[in-house]
Amino acid sequence: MNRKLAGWIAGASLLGSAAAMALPLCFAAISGERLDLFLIPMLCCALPGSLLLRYGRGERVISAREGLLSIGLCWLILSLC
Amino acid sequence: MSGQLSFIDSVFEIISGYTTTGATILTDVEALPRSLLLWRALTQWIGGVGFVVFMVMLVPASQGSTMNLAEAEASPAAEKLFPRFRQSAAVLCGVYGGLTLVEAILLCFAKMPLWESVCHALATAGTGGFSTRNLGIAAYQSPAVESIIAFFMLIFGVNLKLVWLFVTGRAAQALKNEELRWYAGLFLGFWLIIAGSLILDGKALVNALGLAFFQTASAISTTGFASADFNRWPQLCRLLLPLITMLGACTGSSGGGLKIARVIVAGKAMKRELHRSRQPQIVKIATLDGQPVAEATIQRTLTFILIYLSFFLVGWILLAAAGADLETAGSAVLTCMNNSGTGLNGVGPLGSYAAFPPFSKLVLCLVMLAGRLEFYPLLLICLPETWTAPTLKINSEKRSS
Repeated sequence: MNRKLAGWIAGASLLGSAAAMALPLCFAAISGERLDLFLIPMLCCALPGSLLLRYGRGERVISAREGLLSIGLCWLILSLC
Repeated sequence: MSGQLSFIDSVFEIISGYTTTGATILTDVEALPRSLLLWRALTQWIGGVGFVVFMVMLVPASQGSTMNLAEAEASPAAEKLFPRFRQSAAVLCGVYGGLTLVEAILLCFAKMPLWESVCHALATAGTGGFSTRNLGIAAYQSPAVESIIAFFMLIFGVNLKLVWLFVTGRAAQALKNEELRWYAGLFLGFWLIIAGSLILDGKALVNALGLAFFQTASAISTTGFASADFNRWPQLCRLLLPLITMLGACTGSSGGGLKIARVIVAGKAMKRELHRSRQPQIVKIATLDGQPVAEATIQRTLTFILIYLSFFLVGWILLAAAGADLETAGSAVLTCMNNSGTGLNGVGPLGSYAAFPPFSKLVLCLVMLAGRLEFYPLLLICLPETWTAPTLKINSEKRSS
């Protein structure tokens, strides 16, 4: 298993997860709801996400087996974020 | 989740969202902030198209690499519409997003509040089933809302590639697809059986047809929305609805379950073996869409079904051992594995998964993930050989060529 590659995919997914929270964050801001519900998880996803993306920089070729493994790992990580 | 839930409950809820299951541990969703309800619906929308593919599409990678990821994630974006993956994925995601928008607008016309229309459209597109109301779709008591949602549940249960063909005026080409014809046939058959059962139970004809249409569409697309408490329906309906979720939607859709194409291939393989046992000298080839199905594909399909049944049995035993009654345990595992979320008894349309002990919730989390990712990614992680064997050289560039 190529760790750098797994790191790159996990990083991209975590950053994506943080970005996706921007929509409910805006909605919370408009409707006057608590912003920390999204700001804290966004930070928790964005920080390790950017570090992982940096760690896996340059790796771009994914075999079928690595694809399966990376997807499994990513979904497990995302479930905990 | 806003500090109101335990860690395991929060994990359960987010996994249920991303895997588009729609099973919830929340007993009063209406008490939650509206932004959190929007986030719940959004997780289902993203999970429906495939989270990792959705994110990796934004980052440069080679053609075959993204394709490998899309296939590993069982993403609808893995369908080959154009030679280039990125182009196909962009078009299919466009269809997915466009249909979501159309549904939200139609729900607004049906007098559903704008914010709730958006949340329900997102949840329908991902075939998820998270509602913003405690009673689900039944809360609206609106035939227009139910018809719109039922129609879109059926659409999102179809291969997105075929939906694209319909959208671009190539319906005749799409209708040649064997899986689609089986999907439509099975839906019609189950709809009439369930409606007939409801009529025999004393319901009026129109009411029975409407209720059966919505619930059959919800089951076959594995969405899990409910417009009525089908726990009180006749035994035949209670038996059929979870079983329909097992058949599942079409391949290349955001739905879960075994997928109709696999059931067709398994059925044809069984038929072929029966013929062989009667007349061993006859060579019979199984076909799908007029094309012969390779032996390797048949074997992969049958192995998949075996893994599916093993997961179901192990999950059922574990939940029953943790104290759940057999019906609740069985339907909870089945609907979580099919990413439908609405089962029988305690986990029925008006129930929730809150009563399960943490161990059972953990088992259900794994079952939801396994069902959404179609087992192999999670099984591979658990194999020690995976971490020791050298990297395969069947890489993306070779595949794409």
